[in-house]
Amino acid sequence: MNHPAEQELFDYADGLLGPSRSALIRSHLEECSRCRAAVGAAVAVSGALRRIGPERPSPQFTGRLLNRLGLQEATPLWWLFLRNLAPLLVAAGVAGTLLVLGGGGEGTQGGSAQKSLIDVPRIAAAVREAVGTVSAWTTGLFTSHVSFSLGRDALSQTVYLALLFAAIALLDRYVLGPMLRRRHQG
Amino acid sequence: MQPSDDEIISRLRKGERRSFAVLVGRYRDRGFSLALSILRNREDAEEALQDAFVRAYNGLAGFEGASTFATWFYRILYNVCMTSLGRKRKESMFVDAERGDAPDPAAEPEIPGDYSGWEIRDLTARIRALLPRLPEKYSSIITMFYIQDLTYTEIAEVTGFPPGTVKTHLFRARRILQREVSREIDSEKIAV
Repeated sequence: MNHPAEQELFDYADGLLGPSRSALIRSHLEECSRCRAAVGAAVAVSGALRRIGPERPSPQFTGRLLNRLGLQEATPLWWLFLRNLAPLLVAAGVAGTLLVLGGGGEGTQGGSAQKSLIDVPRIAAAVREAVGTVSAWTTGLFTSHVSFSLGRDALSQTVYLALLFAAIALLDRYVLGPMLRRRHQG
Repeated sequence: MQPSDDEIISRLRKGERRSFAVLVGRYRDRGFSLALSILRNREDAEEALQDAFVRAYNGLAGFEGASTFATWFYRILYNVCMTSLGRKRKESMFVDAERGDAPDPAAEPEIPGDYSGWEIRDLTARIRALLPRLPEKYSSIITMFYIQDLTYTEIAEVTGFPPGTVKTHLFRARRILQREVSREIDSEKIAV
């Protein structure tokens, strides 16, 4: 048998030849070291090509595409709101808990020798003072138009903190955030 | 068990529009590889792939099932990429290899040297680096054959080339890659 065409050797290496032609080439390869080397190289290259595997687009690709097609699951507004405010609500909750614990403990700590690692009443007092200052300041801003005063009990201060944090979060999301993004894009 | 493409298409036709997301997941990476092999730029490839998916989604009514969904979708993608390529087409470093339509049967085949010493990982890395330097008609066919696992006939359907031309392009692409790898390794041996 003459040397097979190089293209046929590639096809042989990729298993694309019929059984009879493959058998002929196989028997030729037993005698011909030159064609054996060519097939060896073709097998190596084909194997490497198969190992390359597909490339991946950016992680945002699918979301953007499904959005464009209108197939993206719509996120409920309440969930978006909650997700954005969650960290601040947690912070307000912690502060509120401190206020409640600190407030509840007033008057009972006097003679107690027991010391806790965290001085809750002291932290609560600090939070209360800070909230009082901010409350007074905001009240001062609105006194000409709105008259409101918050009680000094723990619950109303917690509500006050939550409202304040929510206002800051909304301001950040809908006013400051878009402004900064526009500035970066510009 | 994953539903077949035909099952998903029949669901889509029944109005289950979100089923299209399964097809997106199935053809996203391989489609991206094809687009990248033609356009050579990740952003352009993503844009072309997005357009192809949108066209496929909007044109599903016209898909008659004469070919597989894969071939039909890749043909859309291939056409989008070729249109996008337009004047961006760049001369490749392997221009010489493009001359002539068929290999000269009289030419002495280049018999490679000893490949037994090639490290598999090293070879894969070298070929991965060489692929983008092939002319896009070769790299796209290589991608379709080795990554998309399409047959000569399916590649012919996608590209519009006759099957004989597909076979020739694939052969030339592999030969170029083999020759370049061999050249690189030989030059490294000389340097050492």
